[in-house]
Amino acid sequence: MEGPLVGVHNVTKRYGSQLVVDGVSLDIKRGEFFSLLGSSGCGKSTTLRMIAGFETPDAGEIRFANVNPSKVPAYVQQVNMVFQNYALFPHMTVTQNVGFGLKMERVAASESKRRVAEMLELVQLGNFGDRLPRQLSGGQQQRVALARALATKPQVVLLDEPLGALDLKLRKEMQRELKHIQESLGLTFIYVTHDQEEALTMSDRICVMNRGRVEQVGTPEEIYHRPQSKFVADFIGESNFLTGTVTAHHAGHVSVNVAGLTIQAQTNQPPPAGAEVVLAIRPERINFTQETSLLGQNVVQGEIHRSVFCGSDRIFHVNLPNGLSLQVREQSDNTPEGASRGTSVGLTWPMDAVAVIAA
Amino acid sequence: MNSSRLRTSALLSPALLWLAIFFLVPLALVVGVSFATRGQPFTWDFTTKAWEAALAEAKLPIYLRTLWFSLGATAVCLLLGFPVAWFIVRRSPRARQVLYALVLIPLVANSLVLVYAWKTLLANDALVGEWLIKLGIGPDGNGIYNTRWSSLLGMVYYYLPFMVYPIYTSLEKMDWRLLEAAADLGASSARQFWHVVLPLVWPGVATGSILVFIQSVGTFVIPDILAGNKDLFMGKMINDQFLGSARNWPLGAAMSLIVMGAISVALVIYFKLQSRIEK
Amino acid sequence: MIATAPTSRFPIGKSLLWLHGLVTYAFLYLPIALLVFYSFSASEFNTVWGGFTSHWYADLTANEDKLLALKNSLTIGFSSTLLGAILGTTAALGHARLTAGKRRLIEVLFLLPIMVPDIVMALALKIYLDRVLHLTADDGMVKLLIAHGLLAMCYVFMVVSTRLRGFDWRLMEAAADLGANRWQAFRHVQLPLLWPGVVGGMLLAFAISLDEYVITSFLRGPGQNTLPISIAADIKHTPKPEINALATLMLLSSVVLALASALVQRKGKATS
Repeated sequence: MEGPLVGVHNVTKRYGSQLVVDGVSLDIKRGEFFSLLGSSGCGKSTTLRMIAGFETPDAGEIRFANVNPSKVPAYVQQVNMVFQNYALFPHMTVTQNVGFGLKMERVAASESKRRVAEMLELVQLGNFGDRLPRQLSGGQQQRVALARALATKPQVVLLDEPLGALDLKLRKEMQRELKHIQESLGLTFIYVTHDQEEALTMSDRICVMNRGRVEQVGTPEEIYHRPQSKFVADFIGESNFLTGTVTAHHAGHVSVNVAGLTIQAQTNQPPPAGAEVVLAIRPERINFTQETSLLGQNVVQGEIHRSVFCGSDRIFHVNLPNGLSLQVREQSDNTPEGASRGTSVGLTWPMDAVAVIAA
Repeated sequence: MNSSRLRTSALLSPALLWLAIFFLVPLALVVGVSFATRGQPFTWDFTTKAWEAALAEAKLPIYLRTLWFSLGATAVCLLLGFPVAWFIVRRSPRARQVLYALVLIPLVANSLVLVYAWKTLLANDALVGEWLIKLGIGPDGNGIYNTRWSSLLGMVYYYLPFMVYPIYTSLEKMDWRLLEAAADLGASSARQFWHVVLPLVWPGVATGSILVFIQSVGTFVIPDILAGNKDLFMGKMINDQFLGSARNWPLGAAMSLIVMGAISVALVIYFKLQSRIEK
Repeated sequence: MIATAPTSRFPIGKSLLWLHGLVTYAFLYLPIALLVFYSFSASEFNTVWGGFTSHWYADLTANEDKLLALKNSLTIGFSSTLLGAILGTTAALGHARLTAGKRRLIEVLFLLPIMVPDIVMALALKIYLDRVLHLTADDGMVKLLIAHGLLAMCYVFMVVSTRLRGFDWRLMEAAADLGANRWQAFRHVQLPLLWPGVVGGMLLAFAISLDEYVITSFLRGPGQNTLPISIAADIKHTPKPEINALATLMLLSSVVLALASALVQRKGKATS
């Protein structure tokens, strides 16, 4: 098995007294679509800029596998970047922009011409070679930026919020296209975004960052369904948070007492009895039920406090007898008859819908 | 880090050296010369003779005249310039560019020639001079040809663009919806102007005023051509100490330092006002 | 840019504002009109129209004093502009790399020579160059180059540093990312984008040098006339209508230079 293509080892970066990146370690595999996800100021862009070689870590190091022994630093040789707002050279045509890296590498003119044409074909801008960047739409500029980064055949492409300036529809289209190009060329993408949906749909793995630290690294499914911290559960999608105490261990699951209510939660690493934990439950995993108990399921009774229509779904705020409140998300056409304020309802969710997080 | 700092200073130092050697050092030397003894053209030593001469009571009218005329030129430029800036900014974007350029063009023209043109215009038998006499304008109702007042006219003429420029820039940045909002809230025109417009364009007004004042205090060419021989201004007097008949370098140096002093005081007031506005 | 300002009633009535604008523009262009008008008048006096002629212009081309003055003006203009362009541009590039606090200081330093009254700068340089560096009357051109170069440097610095403020430094990162070294990034990316600012600053500096009178009158050697010096002498001693023609030509060249400067800078802005 091959080692990581890019290894970030315990990297720290300060700006003045501010700790921007705090001991970040990452292993990025060849051919992977790897996302750094977090809100602004979480250190994701700085981490990316250190991988690109624009910033030097204060501590720790960044290693590239398979570096040709030469004086040229690895980040120059095999890492190219797609900048936020593209940073296209405004005085050069599309062709000159895409060919810039080849020119710097002193690639022969005929070969360069061929490669540029190939790249423009790839991003579907075959006829736009003579235009200047300002004569292009945002989406087209984005494609040029991508073509420019790909022209020198880098091993790793860094993308810093590349779709941030585009409107929603175009963004979705570009997401598909980026993913397609990455897969068909077998490229390694390191992708910085604050858009969780973007990260979830495109990535092979996601690293969620917060305040300069790594919160969790995992596949989109792991990140979504098995968040390891309250931050991740809160940042990705929506969650009901319940604080309680572990009362008993069972095979593969634990019982947790939440304000007098016992909730069963599946977990591989059960915390010790008596430990305080936070339970995270996705609203869409809670269902209405007529039953009072179901095997392997949590069942509670409550009263609808509020119901909010939001298109395909409807969100219910349900008050429980112990004073807690749960949000429940149901498809609009699947809501119980006469579900309105004050209606008593039964709620149920499977044990594996509960993520146990150390408090 | 270190090589980056080296590169920065390598880029900056040639120009800064030029500035230091051929501007800052000469300026500092002026102080030294103001304490030197006059003679062929002066000898280095320490005497306060030049300063005594510069601060003699006989010179006071010249200083006051220069000060009042500079303040006067500033005030007239403001009165003329503000409405012009306002006039320009309310035209269409295209018209604005043309009108604005038209204000600046006299500035790039040769000042000597324009000032001379005014002199010929103000002569008693010329276009403007004739009218002034007919209307009985001027100190004795005889026009202003070869008087200090034609020097004031020259200053206003030549320095007006310096006033229009910053006011126009700040008016252009103003959010005109604020006026609509104020009107919407029932503010009268005068109150809108006082409470909405003025605080926003005040920095532009201050910048324009300081620019006109600084230019006026040191002006030499304009009074030299327009004011005739009766009324001296500081710039003309300093010039005469070096190039004219008077030939007294230390006195010229001392008087130029008085000019610099007046400018510094104006600048201090300007920056004080500016920082108060920012608060 | 904001949209056209809404019409609203203001202390100054609309028609009054128009009248004021009209009168002010008339005030500004009256002497200019006079110059141009009488430069084509056959009369010896600036007050009488003597019928159309272009012989004042023809006279100029035969006036050796004026031609020599023109040559001096152009020599000093070109050399000081070139010097100022190099010093001012490098300084602006260094300035952009500083922290905000130091930047402000440098800006003030380069603004000083423009703000200080020309007569003060003139006498300071005269004292220094004549009495400390002991340059003689024969070095008049060198002295003028030093002074005009100083002014040119400051004007170029102002224009270029303003332009650099809008420069997107990520373009340099993008170039480095694609394998360009520092020089290549400057040569292929930064310089082409900065060029309009440099040219605009140079045109401005050249126009200023051509019209400079006070400092030149202090520093020039005997017989070293520039156009403004020569004009001043004529005005004081023997005003001739020829001056109108010369002034018209100088005005025209100044306007062309200023417009060219503005156009070059605008064109540059459009590509960035």
